Amino acid sequence: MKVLIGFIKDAVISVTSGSLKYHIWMAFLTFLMLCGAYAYSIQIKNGLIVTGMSDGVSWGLYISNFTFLVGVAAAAVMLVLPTYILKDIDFSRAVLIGEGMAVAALVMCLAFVTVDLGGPARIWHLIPGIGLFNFPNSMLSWDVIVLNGYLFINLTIPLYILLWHYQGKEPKKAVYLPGVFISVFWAVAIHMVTAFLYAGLVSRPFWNSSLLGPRFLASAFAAGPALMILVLGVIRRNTDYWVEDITLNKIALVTTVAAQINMVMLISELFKEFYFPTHHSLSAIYLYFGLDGYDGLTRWIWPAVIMNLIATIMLTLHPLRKNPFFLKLACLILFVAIWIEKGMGLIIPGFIPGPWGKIIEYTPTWIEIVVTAGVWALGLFVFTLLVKIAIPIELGQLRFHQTATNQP
Amino acid sequence: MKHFTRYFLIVSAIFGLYGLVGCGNRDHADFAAITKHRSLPEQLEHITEPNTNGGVTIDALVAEITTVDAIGLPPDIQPFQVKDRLVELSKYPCLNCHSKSIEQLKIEQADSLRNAHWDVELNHAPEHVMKCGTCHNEENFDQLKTLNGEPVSFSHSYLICAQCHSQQHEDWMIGAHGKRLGGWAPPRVVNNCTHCHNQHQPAWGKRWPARVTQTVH
Amino acid sequence: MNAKNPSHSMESCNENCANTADLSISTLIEGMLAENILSTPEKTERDLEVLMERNQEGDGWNEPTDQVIPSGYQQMVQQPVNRRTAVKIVAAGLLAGAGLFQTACSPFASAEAREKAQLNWEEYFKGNFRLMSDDEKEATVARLERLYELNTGKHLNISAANALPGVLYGYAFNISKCRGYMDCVRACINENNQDRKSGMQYITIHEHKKGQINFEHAEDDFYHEVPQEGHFYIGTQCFHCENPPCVNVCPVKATWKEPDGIVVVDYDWCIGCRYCEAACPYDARRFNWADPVIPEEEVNRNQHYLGNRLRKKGVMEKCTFCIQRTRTGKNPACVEACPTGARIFGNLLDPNSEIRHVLRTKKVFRLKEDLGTEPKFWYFMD
Repeated sequence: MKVLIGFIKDAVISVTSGSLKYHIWMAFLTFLMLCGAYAYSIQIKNGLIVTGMSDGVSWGLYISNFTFLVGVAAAAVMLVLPTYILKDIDFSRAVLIGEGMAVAALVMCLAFVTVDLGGPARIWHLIPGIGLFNFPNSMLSWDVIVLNGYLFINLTIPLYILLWHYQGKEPKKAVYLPGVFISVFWAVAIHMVTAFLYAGLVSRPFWNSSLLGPRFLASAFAAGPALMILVLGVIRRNTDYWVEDITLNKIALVTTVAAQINMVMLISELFKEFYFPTHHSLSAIYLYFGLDGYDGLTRWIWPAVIMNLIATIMLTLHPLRKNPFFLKLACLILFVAIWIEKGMGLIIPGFIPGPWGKIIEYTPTWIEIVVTAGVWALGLFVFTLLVKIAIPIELGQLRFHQTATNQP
Repeated sequence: MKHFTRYFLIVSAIFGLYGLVGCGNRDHADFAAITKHRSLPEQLEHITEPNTNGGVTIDALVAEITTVDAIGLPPDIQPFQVKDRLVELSKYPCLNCHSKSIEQLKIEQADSLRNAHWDVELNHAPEHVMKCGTCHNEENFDQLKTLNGEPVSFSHSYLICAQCHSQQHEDWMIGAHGKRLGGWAPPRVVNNCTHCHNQHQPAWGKRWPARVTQTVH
Repeated sequence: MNAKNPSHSMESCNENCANTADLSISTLIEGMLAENILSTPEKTERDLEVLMERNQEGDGWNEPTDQVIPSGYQQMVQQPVNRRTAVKIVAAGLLAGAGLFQTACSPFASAEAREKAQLNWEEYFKGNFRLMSDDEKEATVARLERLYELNTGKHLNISAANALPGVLYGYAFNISKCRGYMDCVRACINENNQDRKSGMQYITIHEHKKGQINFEHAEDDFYHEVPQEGHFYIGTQCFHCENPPCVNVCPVKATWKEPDGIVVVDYDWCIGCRYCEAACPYDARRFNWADPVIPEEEVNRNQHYLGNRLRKKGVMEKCTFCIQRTRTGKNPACVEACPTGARIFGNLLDPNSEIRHVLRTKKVFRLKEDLGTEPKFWYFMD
């Protein structure tokens, strides 16, 4: 108990002190969050009419980002498995950063789902016991369970490791390893469940595909580790927390293979849609080429496809992947490409054309964009806090006994 | 190896749960129903017992309507009522004027500006098929008549229409043509043909659709 | 799951009937008959009287209006504000739970404000309609009526009538007869208190070119003289599927299939995630993107809890086969309004009903039948 209080005190001190750069960064994120909160207050007051969504396209930027971030959350932890099996890097370090990222991504996921609700005041209807939970029929109820469960796992494991390191003790592998393994499988689960959320809808042929789940996983394993490489790069430059090159190389390998599999699946999907286009291919036609003069998404998907292709080629070529600059560039390109592909390229075209063939296009409004930016800022804020607490402890700068002597 | 067992357990637990969705997913059709593939219409065929419709009637709703019992029904059609047409005829009884033959009346009224049926223009069938006397009983203008000369009351004018429009009449008797009044529950009261069709010009015209765009800005 | 026990309570029937694992409808009737679900005759009669009275009034559709009142939800919480009441309203504070509760207990607020706060409080924390006992249903209906009275001074008649035993509603649409007059759409909007601002419609009339039934090439927003040469018309709305995909996906069971086959939404339980809208293959569901607006004199005061009662922003709504009418024996408003007789409605479990005659004698089809959704909405031609 005493340890916990000391930990919280030290954590607060740790996150409130830092370089000027750190403070500017946090102030910037706070500003974005406040903007988001303001935009959200407008949305609460007037209803979802202030968004670009309509009965035609009833999910938009929020659910797109949600879908993408589930992938990020899943992939961050999935890293743990290969690195553990390969047994050539410091395992607990990868776990901590990965799970920190997962927590941040999950916070964003839950925030995105919440801002998308028409009646956030009635969200308690989802709580089993006092509400009425449609389990196991609704895939959304599965999603609520797996996301919250995943959040719980990814909060408790790092907390355990950090608390033990904080006391200068070595965490017992027997305690946290099972948790890590569960979280690895749970990561697959959150992503598959989220894919099934869409794949189970017979009304939307664009989503109603058995490839959707696997393709979610492939793209997630590409985007998540790509983000991880970028984040580790930032951490290496700005802190003393040094992650070995070999770690980055391993992660880059995971990214590469996932990006390649993702490309194969993309080709498979395109073949099916365009070899003999049917009524069910209309969404894909709209997405890639436009339909009946409406082509709102072509300007999104083609850059995404091209970026995806370029990044995959860059990662596949050994000299480029080994070069830190090109590696980071490729990761950035890949991350953005998959963000578009899973957002504007997957959720929106699922609704276009509508069940009776009517085309209603979707463009996010400034309110949606600002709320989305606010939620991303929230996620980055959470991640920065977690890292700011974790790194000093991991580096041994923050220890329980030190606190006891420093603070009367 | 120890870990391997652990993986295995966790993996099977997760996929077992997925399986659960498959089984529990459908509210209405279990696997047996899916494999048997019995559709709703097929099941409805087996429901043949008379139904009391939950004891609901629309007596109160049709109480105001003057009706007559439909006649000339085949035995497999349930008796129903037809909204009475006779009570709506403003110039009835027709014999007030039509005591003479139509030709005679036409000659008498040739110079008159007043014409009782100025709005009647027969646009129903070609001239060689139909004239006033095809349906109106020229012996007794208070009645209609069949092609065979059998008298028919205005209340049952559907019998006249049925002579040519037999398919429509059949549909009307079972409820696939025409309009039911009051509601879906018993008793069944339907419009006569002439409540919707102008018997002299039975075709429907064009019109603008009802305005349904937004009314509040 | 489908074994029926005559001693089942009402709510367990609702639960079971909606969850019935097989489609054996005769079991369903027996179960319902055994359980003797029947609204009292007095109540039905009273509803009918009100219905008839209302029908004699004009609908006032095109008359210009200057008094525009907001949705039912706003009606509950807003009233003409003068400075004194404004303070109290702020104190009553809508859904700010604590403030609300405090006002409810506060000895300083006026009796009316206190009552309102108390009612809003109870409404916010009430359960799902499907699980309410008949007493609880009457209680919530009474609260809603009282709240409306407190806010507008006007009276509503909200019914909580349960499904009639031995009834399963079905609908048939005659493609040869429909001429695109849109009277059904207008009647539907009037009857069901739909938002006049967004122009929400439950019914879509699709104008098809002759030679194909391809909805992608049909015109849904026509406004010209009808019927247009070389075209025919098909109306779509909620098909009240026997196997509704929308019901499956709702995370909070805010939408379900009633024992009489009507797929309904509990507007007070819906959290507005719009998953059902994505799941519906027939474009039948509508979301309240903003607070619905209905001119006060156009409000249909004869309502049903699961039907046309006033909605609020952020909830889903849809065609309910005019549950407030059909459970009293009337036809849905669209059927009644159709001048061509293209729309036929009735009890599928009654072998002598018109709908059953149509299914027996005409060549019928259903849309997207291959999805296995089992719509209770058939199309046929003369």
